[in-house]
This record gives sequence, C-alpha cells and structure tokens, in this order.
Amino acid sequence: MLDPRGLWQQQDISASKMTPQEVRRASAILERQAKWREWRVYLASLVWMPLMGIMILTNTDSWVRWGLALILYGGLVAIWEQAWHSPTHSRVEGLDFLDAWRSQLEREREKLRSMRRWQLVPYLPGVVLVAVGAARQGAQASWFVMNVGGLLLLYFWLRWLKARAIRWVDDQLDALGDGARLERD
Amino acid sequence: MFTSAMAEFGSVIGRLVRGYEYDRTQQDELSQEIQIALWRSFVIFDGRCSLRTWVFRIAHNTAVAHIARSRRRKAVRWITLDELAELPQGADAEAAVGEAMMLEQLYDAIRRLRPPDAQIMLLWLEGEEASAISEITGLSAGAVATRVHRVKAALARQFRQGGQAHA
Repeated sequence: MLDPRGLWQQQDISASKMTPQEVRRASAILERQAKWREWRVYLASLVWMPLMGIMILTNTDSWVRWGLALILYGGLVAIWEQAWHSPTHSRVEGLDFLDAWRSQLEREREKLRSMRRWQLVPYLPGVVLVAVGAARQGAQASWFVMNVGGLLLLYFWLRWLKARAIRWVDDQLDALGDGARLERD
Repeated sequence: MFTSAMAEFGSVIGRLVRGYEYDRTQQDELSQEIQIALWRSFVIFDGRCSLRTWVFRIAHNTAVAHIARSRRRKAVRWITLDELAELPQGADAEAAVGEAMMLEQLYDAIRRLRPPDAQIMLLWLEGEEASAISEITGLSAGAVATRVHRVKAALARQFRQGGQAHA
C-alpha cells in the first residue's frame, strides 16, 4: 500500500505568493469593501426611515400606522444586528482551532436566532396590520387574502429555513462539545 | 516575518488550500484570504507559540471560515471519520492504486470531513507530531492520538480496498 503521508508531502504545490505590497493593498481593499457594505445599509436606512416616519405620521388609518411602526422596528433591529455582528467585531484567527470554530458557530447561531426573533416576528404582524388597514380603506377581499396568504407562506418558509440552519449549527456544536469533553485531558 | 513565513510554509498553505477547496477560482481566493489574514495577524503575534503553530492556526481558521461560507451556498453535508471509513469504493477502485488517484481520494476525503476531523487529517498528512497538532487544534494529546488513529484506520481501509481491487 502507498504511504499517504509521503505521497502528500511530495506534492509540489505552492500557494501563489503575494508580495507584502500586494497583501497590504488587498487588505486595504477588503477593509474598504467591508466598510462600504456597512455604510450602504446605513445610507439606505437614512432614506428609508424618514420615509417610513412620514408615512406613519401622515396615514389616517391606525391599523396601517401600527403596521408600519412594527416594520420600521424590524428594520432598525436588522441594522443594529448588522452593525453588531459585522466581521470587524470578531477576531478569531489566532485562537486554537476548537475555540475559533466554536466561536464562529455560536456567532452564526446567535445571528440566526436573533433574525428569527427580532426581525421576522415584528415584520409579519406589521405587514398583516398594513394589509388589514388597506382592506378597511376599500381594498377588495381577494386582494387581502392573496397578499396576507402569500406573506404568511413567505414567513413560515423563512422561519423553517432559519430553524433548519440553527439545527445544523446545533449539531456541529454538539459534536464539537462531546469530542472536546470526552477527549480533553 | 510575512515574507519568511510564506517562503517557509508556502507549499503547506498551497496543499491546505487545495485540501479545503475544490473549485480552482475559489482556491485562489482562499489563498489570498489566508495571506491577508496572516499579514494582519502578525500585528498581534506575541511569540507565545511557534511561528509554525501560528501559521497553521491562521491558515486553518481562515480556511474553515471560508468553507463554512461556501457550505451555506452549496448545501454540502460533512461526514465523520467513521462514515469515511464506511464509504464504499467507486467502480474505478482499480485505478485508485495510482498515485494521482490516491491523492484525489485524499483530497476528496478531506473535503467531505467535518472541519475538526479534516484539520486533524491535514496536519497528520503534513507530518505534524501529536503535540504540535494538539497545540494547533486545542485538543488534548490523548484526543489527538485517538483521532489520528481513526484517520489512519479510515485511510487504510479506503486504500486497502483499492489495492485489493487492483490485485
């Protein structure tokens, strides 16, 4: 039988090496891109939030106003989460692998849970209230059923996706926890 | 420090990148990510572990973050070492005794394993001692010995099957 270790180490593969100048440049570009991604969201919210505020203040139907307020709240939480959980807030590179992997999984799980809890939950009743308000203002019943039904489907589909992703992260953490607990000295 | 680290560990990083990432374009991207992470990390490197251990930690942690992101895109299912040992050989098991095919099988096994197991396999293939693997991974020496034993058993079973098919 061939020796897998010998065979592995004989391979003459080298990473395409970058010069320090190239790495510095690439690193600066990456940082700029990450910052720009964050700022795009903040800038969009600067436009979107006053717009929502005006709609809340000017709409005459209280159902619509409450619905819009809930949607606005969901949006605010999304922006807060983006700022809090952005990659610049976590540095795990120098940790040993178990700690780094655990930290990454836990961050991902927390993000998913938080999205489910704080973004989807206010979003759904918000949209339903807006739809009810629109129906009260004279929209047809079929329009109401289609929109609310579609939104309910979308909501439960997103909930299912998030729950599945959380289950996967939990499985990975369980496997890691058992291995570490059993095998650590 | 960055230049000397790349000169010393460039080929290790090259194999690691190929081990974790199948897609050629993604390999270049991952290689770049690792070099940037290394470059940034030297600011906080305090010499409490060897340069070798540090480079391995940075490279593996960056690679695993990278594949975790692409796993979300491709819905990959990772397997355990036990499942790897139980995997049936393909119809072309005869050809697997060739060096190139054996290497492909190794890469395939690494990409299918869960990240902690893939890391142990990669470090063992690179010829690292149990104590060094322990320092890099955070697992105890006993835990590393157990997992290395399972890596060896899984690989032996895989390649013995190939050899028998050839005979």
